[in-house]
Amino acid sequence: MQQLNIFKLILIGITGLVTLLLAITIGSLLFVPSLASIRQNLGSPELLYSLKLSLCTASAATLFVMLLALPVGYTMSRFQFAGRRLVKTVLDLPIAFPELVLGLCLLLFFGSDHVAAALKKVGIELVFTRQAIVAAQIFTALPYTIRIIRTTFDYVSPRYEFISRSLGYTHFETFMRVALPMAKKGILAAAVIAFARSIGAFGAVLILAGGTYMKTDVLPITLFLNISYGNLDLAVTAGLVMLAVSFLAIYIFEKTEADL
Amino acid sequence: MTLLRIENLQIQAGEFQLCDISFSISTGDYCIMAGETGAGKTFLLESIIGVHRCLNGRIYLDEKDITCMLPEYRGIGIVYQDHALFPHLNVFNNIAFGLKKQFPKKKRQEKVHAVAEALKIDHILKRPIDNLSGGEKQRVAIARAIVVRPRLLLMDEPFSALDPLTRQKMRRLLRRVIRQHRMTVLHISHDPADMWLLANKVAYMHEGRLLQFDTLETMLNNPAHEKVSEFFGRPSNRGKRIRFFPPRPAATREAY
Repeated sequence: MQQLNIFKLILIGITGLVTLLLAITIGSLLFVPSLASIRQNLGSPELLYSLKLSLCTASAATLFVMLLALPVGYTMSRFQFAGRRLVKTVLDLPIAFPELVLGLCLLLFFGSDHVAAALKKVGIELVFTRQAIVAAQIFTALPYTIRIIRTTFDYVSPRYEFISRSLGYTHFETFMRVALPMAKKGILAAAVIAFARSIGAFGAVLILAGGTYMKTDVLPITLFLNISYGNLDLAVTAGLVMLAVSFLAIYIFEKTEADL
Repeated sequence: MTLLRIENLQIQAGEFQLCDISFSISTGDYCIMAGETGAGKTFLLESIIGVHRCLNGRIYLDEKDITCMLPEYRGIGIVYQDHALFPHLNVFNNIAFGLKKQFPKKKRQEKVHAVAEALKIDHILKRPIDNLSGGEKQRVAIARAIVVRPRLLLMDEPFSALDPLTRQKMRRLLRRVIRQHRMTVLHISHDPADMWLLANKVAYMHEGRLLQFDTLETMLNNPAHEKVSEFFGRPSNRGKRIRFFPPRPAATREAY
């Protein structure tokens, strides 16, 4: 008879407990409102507005984030340069500090006279507007996305690119024809995480865009405002919508990561 | 006529450095480079294709200074030990990759079929690369490099992952194709059979330095450094014989 591996059993037990704890905590969202109330709240003008605004702003933010994260992630993966470690620390910094602090930094920067005036000249008024939501979402999602893209390119051997260049392709052509296609699954995963982080961005959005009803009212703001009013059912429904988006995002991420 | 000439090349990568490398290869030469793991052989090949920046020294190809030239303009092909076939392309598209910028579709097809036939891989052109054996992958990698007719072909241990029988077949096939295309080759290998049967020049590297570059006979009879004599099995100055270098195999170079 096989001997018991006590250590393995303890580890599996702890994993099971943590999973159960998370599942129960997240699942509690499902037990508060009735099905009829969820259905009714899903059709409410506020939720429909915030869902539409969230999807639009998160899509725009994801597009900008990907346009910025691809070159930065590739640079950090492929090139050695003076101050590389410092650049890496700065890029990762927003991951480590609270979103509220990030929001405050954004407000101080974009709200400063010089920056606000410069933006106004090109027709952009950022602070406490819908554009501010996109800006806050970009800054929230960017560090995570850069990190995933950098790791993805780390897994693609530079030898493929050396071969492509020896066969007559320029560095840019090689990036487009070899590096990008070989990293496409990781890039898709990064886009999914960027979208999920953008949808879920709260602190930075609240400070830079404000929490104005039916104006800068994205899903996390709807949840926050409705808890403040005492409208728990609508807050929970907003939470459920965000949970569904996050679940889908993590599912796609896990699936593409498994295929890498 | 000298094809590749390297003068006092010095390149750094992190803590590792290629120091004062100088040698030249004539058109039609088949040069095999040996040396311990970490000697800098692969790094030297990558420096010749132009992906590492030189600190000092010059590289000349056909007497033209290519030291600062971008890799895409050098016309030097490379084949790696791990094949490095593009996983998102099938066999045909891997081989045709380097032709896409220069030739129309029909010409590309002709060229790919000709090289595939020479390397006996014309029956697998439509297959994805993850369905190939090690020997097939290596032939596809060689086909991809030679189909563009590089002025110089660099090969980094192309047979090391193959079983002895496949290696023997590949060596024979490569010899024939190289002769047919009249190519100049710099090939990293530790296999004495490769040196006996393919090479007319042999080089030995150690810790980023080129210790000797000569014919195999000279390396065996007059090693210029103790490390060279250790590898080629001749008595060192201290009289010890560390490794036995096997004699010329029964199949001579001419028979290949």
